[in-house]
Amino acid sequence: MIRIQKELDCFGSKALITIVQKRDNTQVHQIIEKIIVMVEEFENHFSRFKKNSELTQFNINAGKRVKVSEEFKNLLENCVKLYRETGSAFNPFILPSLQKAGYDKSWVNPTIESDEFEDSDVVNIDQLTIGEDWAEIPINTAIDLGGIGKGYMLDKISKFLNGNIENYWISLGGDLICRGKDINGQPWNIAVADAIDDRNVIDSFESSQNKVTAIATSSTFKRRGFKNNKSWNHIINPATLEPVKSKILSATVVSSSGMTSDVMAKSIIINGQDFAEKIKASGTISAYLLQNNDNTIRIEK
Amino acid sequence: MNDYVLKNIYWMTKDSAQMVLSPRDPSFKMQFFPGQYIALGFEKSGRPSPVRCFSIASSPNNSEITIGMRVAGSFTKTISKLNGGDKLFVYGPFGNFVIDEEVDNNIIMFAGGIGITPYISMLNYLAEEGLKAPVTLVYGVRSTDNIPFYKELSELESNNKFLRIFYVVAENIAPNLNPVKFIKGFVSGQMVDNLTAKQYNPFTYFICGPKGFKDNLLNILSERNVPDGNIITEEFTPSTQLGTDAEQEKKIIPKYTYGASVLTFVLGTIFFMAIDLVRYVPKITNAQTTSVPLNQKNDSSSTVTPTTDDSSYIQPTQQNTNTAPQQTNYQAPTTRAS
Repeated sequence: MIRIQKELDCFGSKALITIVQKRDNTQVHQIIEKIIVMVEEFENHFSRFKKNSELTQFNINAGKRVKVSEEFKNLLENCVKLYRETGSAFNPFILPSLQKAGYDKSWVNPTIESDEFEDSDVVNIDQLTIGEDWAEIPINTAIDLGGIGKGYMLDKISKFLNGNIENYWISLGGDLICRGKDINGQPWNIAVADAIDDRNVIDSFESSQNKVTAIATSSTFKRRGFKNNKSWNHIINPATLEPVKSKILSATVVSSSGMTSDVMAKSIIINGQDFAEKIKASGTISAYLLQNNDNTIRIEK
Repeated sequence: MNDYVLKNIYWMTKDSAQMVLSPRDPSFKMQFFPGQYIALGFEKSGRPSPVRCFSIASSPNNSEITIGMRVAGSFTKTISKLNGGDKLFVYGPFGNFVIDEEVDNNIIMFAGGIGITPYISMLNYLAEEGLKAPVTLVYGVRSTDNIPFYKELSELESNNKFLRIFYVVAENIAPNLNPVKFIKGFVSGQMVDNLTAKQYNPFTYFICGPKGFKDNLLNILSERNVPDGNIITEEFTPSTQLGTDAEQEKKIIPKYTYGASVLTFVLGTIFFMAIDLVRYVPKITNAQTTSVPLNQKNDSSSTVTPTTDDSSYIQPTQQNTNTAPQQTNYQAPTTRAS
């Protein structure tokens, strides 16, 4: 067995594509190149830090019916579903609060600013109307797909790989999806990095047999800063419209969907440990790890 | 000497406390550098008490001074029973256990027990001013249910991505604590190797704790040929070695000669201050022209006078087995917050 790994910059972070198979061949490299193109296209399409992205144009045209791509419509439908599943902890309309708090520049390249929606309103998901090939949000509102995009992309890549590649793991900005076995024929062992110092590993999860395993970690420790003498982090609590103040420093979630893991990890930080227990009991997620501010760790596998 | 009053006492653990002192003149703010210490006395039956030295835990940006102490000896037991508003005498600041921001770009702090106190001041100040240099704090404690300043440290770490803290626990670690952060055992050479990746010289090592703790670390660093100029130490003397109540009364405040006691006290204080002034005034004078304390590295490895009140601490003997992740070309699957 051989292992092929490729790294690229995307989603304001690093992406890693790792494939294990019997022999190297041009097909594998073509698949990797295709994944890279898919990720780049997605980012160009849905980044709020790109002026010409479909998302930016959609926000600029708030209050009007806007023709949307099939993929954008699919993303919006997932937003509605996840809003309900998280009890509104996930709300794509949270962008104005995020910008008000301080997350108004690209984390990787601070010279790139997104369009200012600081003074826009935050509304609930019922204000999003989705039609056959169009969608509409109320005037003076804006949405952000940052909370769902990475997970959505991982699921998309996973679907693309299934049937073509047996053993792989892909990570986008710390979220990860995998299937099959590692180079030693063992299930993938996915390390969970310490939220404060990610050179350290605090625990690990093993991938499921013959199933897709998606793991995402969200933390109030990363992507944060100070604005107007107040600290902020990138997780906004829709109930207060302020950066979340949580006992949970970092939440890692395991499920069969990248989008679910990504959104639920953030939602657990907002909703707390009880919510984590609830969605594990319901089967929405299969495991979780919480790293708390008081340095305790809770693991449910 | 400056007049202060006791504002409050907070018990951090069953035997360690923080004292908050307010200047009697509300417009007064003591100028000191994070890591320095003060000598503290109080009024006892209308007479000045003997003084003891305590490291400052608060930032120089505050007009109130917070000190940390382990309540073990007679002096600390007495002052821990003082009431809010009681008069206190503060001498100082003293000491050279300070960070030079221009030189100390990579800092490893070793704290033993209540020897954590000066670091609290440093870390508070660095956080307020915008922490830039990576700081690793290795904090040796006896057990996880007795960690002075734990809440403050957790908050500081949560709010500073350049700060990481490891607790080295000699005895009991409570269940469910992060095994990366709470390491059973004692500070060891292997731990220093892991923290530095065996590249010892780019780091400045601060050591504050009891003599055994300090000596062990000096040996570890010496074995690794760390230059003396990269090591800054502070040692504190257990209060139990400073004499009993009865001895102190006899030595310092004879019952029948109040005037003589005052004279002894004043002369002692002047002597004490004069030594500190001779040793440190040039550096403090320089430092006042900058926003960050200066420290001359080439003579900073010398032991400084006692700063805090603690009776005992762990005797490092065991090797810790915690190892840093191995770096290879292949990047293993890891989920991390981004």
